[in-house]
Amino acid sequence: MNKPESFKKELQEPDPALLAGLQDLLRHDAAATGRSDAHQAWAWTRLQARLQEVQMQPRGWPALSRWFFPAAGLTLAGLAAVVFIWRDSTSLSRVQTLSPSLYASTFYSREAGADVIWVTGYNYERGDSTGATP
Amino acid sequence: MAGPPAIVVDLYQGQNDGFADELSHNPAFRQNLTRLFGYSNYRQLGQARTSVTSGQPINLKPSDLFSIRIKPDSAEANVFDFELLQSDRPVLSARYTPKPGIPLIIKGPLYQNGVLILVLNTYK
Repeated sequence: MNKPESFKKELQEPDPALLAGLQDLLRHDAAATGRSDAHQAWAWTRLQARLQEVQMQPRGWPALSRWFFPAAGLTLAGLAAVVFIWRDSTSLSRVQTLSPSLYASTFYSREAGADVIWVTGYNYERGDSTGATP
Repeated sequence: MAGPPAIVVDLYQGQNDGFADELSHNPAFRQNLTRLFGYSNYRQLGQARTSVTSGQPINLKPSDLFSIRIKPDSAEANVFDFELLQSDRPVLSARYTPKPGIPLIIKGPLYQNGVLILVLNTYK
């Protein structure tokens, strides 16, 4: 049976598993290369912007790119072979960042045996990311 | 009969040098942190714990850097709404259903030459 509303929703919203997979790749890349939190936030911002662009493409030829980027992301995820996501297993829901500069991704990390909230884009305006001392 | 669940929040700093590793007594946990964050040395900056006895909000402050405001769901057992604050600035909110033996790890900001890490454990 056709469910137009759920289909429409599926088209409008990026696949959360794909987003989590790409974020997981960003995380591994950041850990492997020592990339900064600001760089991770930038990469995540670009990823979200690109996905939004892809979603806004009209049907027809440009629609090809709508599938190209997610497909490329999935291919990368497969090549990396380090994505351990059991999204259905995560103990978290309704995760919401409370600052426009922050980005958060949640996943269950099988390699670490933990639910993880990966937050990037913390405020560095004070020169110190925390603004306080322990 | 089991008592009320206890929530423990630890704040760690991960870094490659500058201090000695303090998690040598818990190599499995240390390895998990290394897998996630890539740093070799970890030290604890603070800890806060509480028992959940009612539906009232609870503030847990392991250090001046972070605090967590937890509100148990009055209708659903073992479900918490929480808000993470960096100093006094709200960072994120979430709904959490703890699972036995599975901690919740939150990546904090970069700090000195490493990163801050919050670990939330729930015990029954």
